[in-house]
Amino acid sequence: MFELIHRNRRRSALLVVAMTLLLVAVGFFAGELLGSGGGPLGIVFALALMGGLFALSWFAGDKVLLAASKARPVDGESAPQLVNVVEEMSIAAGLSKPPAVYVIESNVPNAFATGRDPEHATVAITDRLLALLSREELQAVIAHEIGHIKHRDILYMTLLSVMAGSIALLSDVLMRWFWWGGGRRRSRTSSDSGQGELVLLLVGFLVVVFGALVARLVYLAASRTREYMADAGAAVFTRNPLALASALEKLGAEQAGASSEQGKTARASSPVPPSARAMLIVSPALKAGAGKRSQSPGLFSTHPPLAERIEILRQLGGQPNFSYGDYAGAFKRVSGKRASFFPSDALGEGAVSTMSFNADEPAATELRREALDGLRRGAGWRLWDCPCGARIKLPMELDRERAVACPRCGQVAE
Amino acid sequence: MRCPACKLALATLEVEGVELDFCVEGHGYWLDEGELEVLLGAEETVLEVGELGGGNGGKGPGGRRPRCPRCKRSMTPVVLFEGLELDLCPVGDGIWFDEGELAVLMTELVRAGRVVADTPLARSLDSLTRHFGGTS
Ligand SMILES: [Zn+2]
Ligand SMILES: [Zn+2]
Ligand SMILES: [Zn+2]
Repeated sequence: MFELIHRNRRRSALLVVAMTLLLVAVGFFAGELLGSGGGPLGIVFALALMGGLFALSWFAGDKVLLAASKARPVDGESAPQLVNVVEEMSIAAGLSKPPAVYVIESNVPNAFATGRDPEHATVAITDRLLALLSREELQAVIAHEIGHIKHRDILYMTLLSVMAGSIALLSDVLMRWFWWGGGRRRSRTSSDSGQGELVLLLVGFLVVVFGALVARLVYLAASRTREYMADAGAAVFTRNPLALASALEKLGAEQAGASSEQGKTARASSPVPPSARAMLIVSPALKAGAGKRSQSPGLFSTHPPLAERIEILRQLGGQPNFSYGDYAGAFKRVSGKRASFFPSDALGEGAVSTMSFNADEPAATELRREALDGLRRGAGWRLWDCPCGARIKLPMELDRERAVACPRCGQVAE
Repeated sequence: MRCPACKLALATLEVEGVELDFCVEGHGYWLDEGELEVLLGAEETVLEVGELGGGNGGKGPGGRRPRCPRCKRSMTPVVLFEGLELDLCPVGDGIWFDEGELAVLMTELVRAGRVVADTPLARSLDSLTRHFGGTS
């Protein structure tokens, strides 16, 4: 397991170096295009832009993301069952410290992990997802998110996303500059500089235009391999690949259903900003694009096809025991591609025995209710247990002096 | 969420793990999409809550329409049968039942041969327990 992370880092470092070189190149040519000799300045600007954006996401990224998705924290007191599941999975994954747990009130089923390193990590989950899943399925989804944390995907994907974003921004600014006639002024001043300059301009133009596209594709490809690895991690941590398969299936069905019903579009919008989508358990694009899924779902997606992920997990679940190596094997059988992103050391790791999955287990409604009540308490609601057995939940906006009768038995709450 | 009638924040009632939202002034109940089925313990859809269209002007045939507590669009009146006109969210968020309308619906369901006693709904509300309540 340790090697999995280690090897991962070497590969990741290589990608980051490559992306940095691309950023430097784009910065250089952008500078040159804006003014002869402006290349070095362009590089400085590009690196500063990336550094600034990265610093921002390093120090505030998770807070911004959690605030933007209206996630609210719960703890062992307000939502003991959910927090318990997260703690169990953290132990199974060997995290030194369980992540913080946030709940999002949203009709869209999803979950994500955030935070710069395993010691400052957060797992967030929507109440709609809690409503859908059985306890075993919930464990699997949480284990997937903890897989992202364990593999340090969040920092890495943030870094790649910031780099791709910086490149895109530079390229965009430059395009606009030329669009509004900035290029004309530029070409007049350099008209006497000869053919060498023209070639430089042309090459620069291509680097800037295609650099943004390449950076985006690299980012998305990296994101997809991270999803497979988090799935593999979740399967090993829970020893229950069928539970994750079943959870993903429910998510897919729910999202496809939401998109086919018109009018749901208003609330089917993702609770998470686009920049953080790589961290979700399933891609929100699934909903929006479900009607026209035939249009290349591959290259431009943060997530691999759900059907593929499910099929790989099913194959593992059919075996009495399995290892990372078996996941890589199933990956190859299902996708037709080699799992080259799997480090060889992980592939040599021993097998765990497969746990049986109870498909008939009902959704963990009690757990969801507990988590939601925890949220409400945190938001200042008053929860009153009527002697008749009903529980009355009064939002903070309601005047505390107002007498409220239990709609079930008529008793008045104090 | 706020009551469509008096704009007070809606409170939530939970009985046996099933929730519904109600106005503390007694104006009625809000059921999210799918909640009616849960409350009636029904496998199939009891009342289709889907895209209805409309819900644009804020003024319908009957003057000002109440607004959906979730999306604030004005709700569409749907005559379920004679004597029961419900307010439905035009984009399918749920159904608003004025005080007494749940009892009318239950009466009609009984007449149609459905067993409503011992459903979570029958056990949830005072007014319903008296008429439709089961063993408990
Ligand atoms: Zn009571
Ligand atoms: Zn009211
Ligand atoms: Zn609505």
